[in-house]
Amino acid sequence: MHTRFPNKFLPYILLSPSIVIVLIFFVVPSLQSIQQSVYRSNISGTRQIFVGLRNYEQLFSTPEYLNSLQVTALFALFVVGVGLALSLFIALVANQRYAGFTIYRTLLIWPYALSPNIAGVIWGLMLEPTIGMLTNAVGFVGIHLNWRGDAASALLFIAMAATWKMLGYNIIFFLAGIQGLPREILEASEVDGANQWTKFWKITFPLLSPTTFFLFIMNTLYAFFEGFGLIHVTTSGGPGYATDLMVYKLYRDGFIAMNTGFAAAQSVVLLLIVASLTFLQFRYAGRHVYYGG
Amino acid sequence: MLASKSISHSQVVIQRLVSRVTSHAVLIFASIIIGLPFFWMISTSFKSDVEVGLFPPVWIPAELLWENYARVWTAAPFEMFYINSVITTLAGLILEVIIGAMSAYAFARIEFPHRDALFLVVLATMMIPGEMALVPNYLTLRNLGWINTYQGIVIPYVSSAFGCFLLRQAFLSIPQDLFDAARMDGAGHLRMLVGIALPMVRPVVATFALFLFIAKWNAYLWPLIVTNTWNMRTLPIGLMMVREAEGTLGWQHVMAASLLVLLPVLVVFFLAQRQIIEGIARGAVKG
Repeated sequence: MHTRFPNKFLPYILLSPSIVIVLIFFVVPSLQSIQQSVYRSNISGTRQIFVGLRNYEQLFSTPEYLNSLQVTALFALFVVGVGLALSLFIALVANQRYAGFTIYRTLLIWPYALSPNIAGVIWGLMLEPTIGMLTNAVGFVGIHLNWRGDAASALLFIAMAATWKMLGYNIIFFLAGIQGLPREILEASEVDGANQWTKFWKITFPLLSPTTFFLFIMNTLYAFFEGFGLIHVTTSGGPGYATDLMVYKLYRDGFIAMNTGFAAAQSVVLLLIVASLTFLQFRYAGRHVYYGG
Repeated sequence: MLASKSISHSQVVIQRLVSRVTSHAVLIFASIIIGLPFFWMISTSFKSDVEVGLFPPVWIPAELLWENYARVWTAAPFEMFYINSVITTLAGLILEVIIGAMSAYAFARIEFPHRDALFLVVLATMMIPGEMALVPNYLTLRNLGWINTYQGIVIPYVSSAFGCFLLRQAFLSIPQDLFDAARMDGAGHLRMLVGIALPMVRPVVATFALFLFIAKWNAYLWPLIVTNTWNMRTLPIGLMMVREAEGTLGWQHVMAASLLVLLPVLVVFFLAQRQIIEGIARGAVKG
């Protein structure tokens, strides 16, 4: 039992810097964004007009925003789906306990320290339409990639760069998760004669669900929010609007087009996405995910 | 009976060997997939204009052209970018650690009304995406006259629920006896915070500081929004200047510039990787 020495003013003095900053730069502006999302400026920008949910109605009937939603969904699907599948596969095959493991860990995880815009520049070169090493390599099998001119190539390009940056992080987590599984159960299944495939789906995968679920949330948040620098330094949302992720569109509407009401409505949509992911995390993690014991 | 046992034994040995070799092979393959783009980046940064465009690709340039780096350094105000990045990263990091430690100590070690409710509010702010505050924050900074200033880049981001949470956990794990003893010696809370709490949780503080270093060094969206002249830009955004000069500068220059941007963070990462990987493994860190 902790006995903490009570004090009347000190706690508030200690808390005041955080509280002041969080209020001024986080809580109040977030509330302002919610308020802004139901207002619209007149043309000269001098007066705010209450428009109810019309910013949202407009948002979900604008082709550019719907496109941005679709692009973000595809991007997230790739980053989460391909990223997790690939790293789980690598972790499963590589699952061994040996001395050299820490070296691999270093070799795998370093891109974690990279900013997404550097990942963008590196992959921009790898997939450069004319001289890119990877472009030329896949050119041999008849696949022509051109992220500067072709929408699908561009989306593939940013998705690959983003997935690459998270790959090592995911592998490390899966390896740690697999190595933490109860050995008796895995060995018992082998005695029962289960083949690798059945063993994976019936035993390893369900036991691994806390790790998978944690990585699912992390990668989804990453896909929704960390793509900005990657896009800004390479495709600028193009060609056309092919890589116009939601964060990038928010930036364009808020700071380039100066359409604050519209941008505010978009930020509320992002809030809803994060809130529902967090909700899911608490609910699902609490009830359905198996935690070894 | 004996024979079959020895067969199965050697089978097991072979099986183990095969799986060990596969394991190494897969990990080496994965390391190459992850490392190759980086190697390619370094290699390209030393190439000549001709070598950059050759196919089959040139893995190691015939001559290491250091002048690519010199060219980039003069093509954009890189000294300014470096100074700006170092100042904003370090100032932000130090302030965030101090502010985080103060609030964490209050939550962990002092009794006051509504403490737990207030802590829940702090945790709840973790659910709000920072993007929500972008536009209003920009307007606040404009009113304060902080656009294009260091404090404008740093201050809005020096308080994090994450740091408060992390340090509170650490402070809670310190045995109460230490504080009781200090109390007997007449120490107040401030002396306990500086003299006992912080030194006791030094590894956690170090891990926190390392993550802050990486996050602040790599910060992109906010510094882009609040700065509007090149002499106030930080390194990641400065890279954009090199990208925009695509007509006169080639990929070798872009790669040299990128390496200049990420070198400090990579050096820190490799020097402190143990602590960083443990921090990641604790699962306490946002992707």
